[in-house]
Amino acid sequence: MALASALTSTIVLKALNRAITSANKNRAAIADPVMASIISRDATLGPVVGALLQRMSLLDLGGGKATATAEGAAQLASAAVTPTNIAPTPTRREYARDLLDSERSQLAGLGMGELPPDILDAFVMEGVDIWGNTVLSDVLALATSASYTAGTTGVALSWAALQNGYLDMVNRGAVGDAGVIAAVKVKGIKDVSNDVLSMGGAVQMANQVQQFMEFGGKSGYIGTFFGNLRLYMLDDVATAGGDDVGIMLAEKGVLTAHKVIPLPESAITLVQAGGGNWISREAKRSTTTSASTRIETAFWTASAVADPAALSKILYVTV
Amino acid sequence: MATKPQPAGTPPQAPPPGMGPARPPSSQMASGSILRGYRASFVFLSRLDRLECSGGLVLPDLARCDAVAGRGGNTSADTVDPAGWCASMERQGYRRVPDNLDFVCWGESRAAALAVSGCTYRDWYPTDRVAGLWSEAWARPKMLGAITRWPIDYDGKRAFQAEVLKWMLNGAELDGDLIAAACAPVIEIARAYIGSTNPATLGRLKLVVAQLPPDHVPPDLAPYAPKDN
Repeated sequence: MALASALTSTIVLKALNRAITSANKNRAAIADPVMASIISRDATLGPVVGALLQRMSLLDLGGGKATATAEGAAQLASAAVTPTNIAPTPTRREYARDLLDSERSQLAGLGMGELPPDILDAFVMEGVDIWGNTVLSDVLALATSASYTAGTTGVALSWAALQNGYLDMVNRGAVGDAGVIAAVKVKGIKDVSNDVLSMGGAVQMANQVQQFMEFGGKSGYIGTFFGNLRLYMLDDVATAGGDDVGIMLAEKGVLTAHKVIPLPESAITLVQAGGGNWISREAKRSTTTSASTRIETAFWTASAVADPAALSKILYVTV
Repeated sequence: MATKPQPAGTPPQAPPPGMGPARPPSSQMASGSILRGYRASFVFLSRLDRLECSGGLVLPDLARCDAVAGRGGNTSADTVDPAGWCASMERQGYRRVPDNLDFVCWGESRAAALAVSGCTYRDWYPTDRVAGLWSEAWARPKMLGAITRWPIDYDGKRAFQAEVLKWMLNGAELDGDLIAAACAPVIEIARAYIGSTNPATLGRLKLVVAQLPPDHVPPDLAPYAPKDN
């Protein structure tokens, strides 16, 4: 026992684990099929993940019906075709960490836990996380300008609001093979759970509700509803003066763009595919803090609403 | 009701006309701990066929565009004014809400904020981050321990939305079909609750119905409408 105790004590003292943060949970959504589809159409990331670039223009085609005319009648006035161009402009984002030499020494001495032995590698990994947080946060923020709404201002989120918002999106023809991703804060998830439990009857006993209650969620993912809507609990969901502004998004709703970064040969690069590097990471001596290493992660990213029909905001009261 | 705004710090960069700082309320300064975090400046846009029901009124469903570079069509230069995002919204028929609409929020006219900052619906607060934090006039952040809370003046928000509607209509009447379209999704949500005997559900039903204008509550929902209507 004494030996076991000593071993346990040693392990605990030397373990170096990533702290639990809700931001790490939030990134579960970036692997969702909708996000993957969006990223596959990204000019820079598309080649990396296997699909190819699109710079998107929307043409409102195929919505009309033919008019009855007589042979030889005057030509009908034709409807103009005006493309709506969507061109997100990548802008530079940067994240920096200063690591004092003494701290680096201490951390390296503890480097026996989940993190790689070289502590710099940990910050390289963090750079990808930061990129994921940034892209997700940008996409979620687009909901504040959405033209379509599920839910009601000033009122708790309900099962009916979620269902109607989804069916409206289906009716707009916006739901593709990747289905729909929806994200609200924990308040919204609690609202919906309380709602279904208080409704009773068929709704409460429905398979998806039972699965929802039984599963309860993991790493941001709450469950799949209506066969095609994957619901996430994300803290980065936007707010607007009294309401949370969640998002309901199909794959054509957003277009992202990244930019290849020209780098000096000495720079540490993470990905070199599809024609260039999209994240740069440099470790250098800080010019502002003595005896420290500065690790800078930089990338160029942008996101914009592509087809408004494939984007809804999920509105419900914040408190 | 909050106390009268007091002078405080200035934002880190000189904003263009119409995007300047408003003074934070003294309630925030008196809390003893400085606010945390960063929130970008923003503008509101509106479109006449995007309406919502709130507190028995039909009001504009405002679209908010943040001044974050790379977001929504913004370029690298759009860190104070979200010109790129606004341009893409204007192509969809939205109009940028003027900065000078006066309304009453937290019990006082916002005209004073216009004189200070050039905008009535935005306030700027100093935080632990250099860039500070921008907020809607009706949401006043304050620190409670380590948590930032956002008390809301809902009447102030509706007063602003009413002014926006008046500006969009420019003296015209709001079309009945637009009112009906705004009420329809709220009625759908309310009807999902009809038939329940659960007190919690009935409470939710009444709250949803209370958002509808009294003269647009359909007969099957009338029993759940607020009595003072």
